Amino acid sequence: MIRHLWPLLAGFTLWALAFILLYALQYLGCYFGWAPAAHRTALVVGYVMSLAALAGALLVQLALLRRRGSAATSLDRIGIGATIAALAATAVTFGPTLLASACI
Amino acid sequence: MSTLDPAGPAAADIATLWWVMFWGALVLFALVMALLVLSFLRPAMIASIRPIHWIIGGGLIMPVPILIALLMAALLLGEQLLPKPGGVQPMRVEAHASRWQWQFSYPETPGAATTEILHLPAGEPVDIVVTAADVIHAFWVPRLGGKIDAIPGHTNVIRLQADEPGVYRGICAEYCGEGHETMGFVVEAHSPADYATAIGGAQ
Ligand SMILES: [Cu+2]
Repeated sequence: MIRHLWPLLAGFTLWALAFILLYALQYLGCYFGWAPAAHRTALVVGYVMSLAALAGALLVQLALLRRRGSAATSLDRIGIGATIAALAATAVTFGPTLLASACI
Repeated sequence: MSTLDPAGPAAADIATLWWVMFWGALVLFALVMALLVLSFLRPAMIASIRPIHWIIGGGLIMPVPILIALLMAALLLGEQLLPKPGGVQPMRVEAHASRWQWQFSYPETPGAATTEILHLPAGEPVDIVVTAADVIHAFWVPRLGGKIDAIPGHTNVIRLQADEPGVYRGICAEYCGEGHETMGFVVEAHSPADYATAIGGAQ
């Protein structure tokens, strides 16, 4: 099942992992009292890593689509759409980690 | 007790956000109704729009800018509500929730404590330190702003200001058991002189 569905699941699974990563970075930084500049740097690195992971997944899916040629299924193409949506969702929904107050 | 009748800067920001969302929603509602009316009066015109255009127009072009604008408005207004460190630190009072009542104490006046009445000075921000004894409650004074959860083992801070002396009702805004709906309290905001008297009487 997963063998066939992974193109659909990959993007938003990575989005969910990015959510956990960034939330943990935000909480741990506040809990351990990291210096604000170091804390912000960690959040920005986490954000960029999340985008990079999604861009990587998208490239893999595109390469696979090209390799399969006419054997590509509609699931492959829908999966690419889902990963693009997840990439855009990551950029927008986690954007505030770059600017918003982390700790109070 | 209406959030649309704000009595302080935090509540005013929240009311502004509410009105932004209200007018935004009204515009979208009018747009959808107009399309519905057109589908009855001019069905050929609606039928000429291709499905892909509905999906791109109605699913991306229309909602994405609106949602991003609302997100930015909520973030900018939300930042102003945070009790940030640095700058002049306002006076602190403590609000402690238990089933089913609110207890207030005033660290700057040792020994002063009140139950179900919170005395505040009017016209200045106050940091309210919110804690809980047993289960999760929530501190909410709709006309002043808020709300914030009262969580056992955790300390939350909310910065509120009552612009004018007056009486503002507050409630527990998180269901906490059979006494939940009776778990109200009253904020009495006083002028500076009256505040000293009220706190002195609570010692
Ligand atoms: Cu309660």
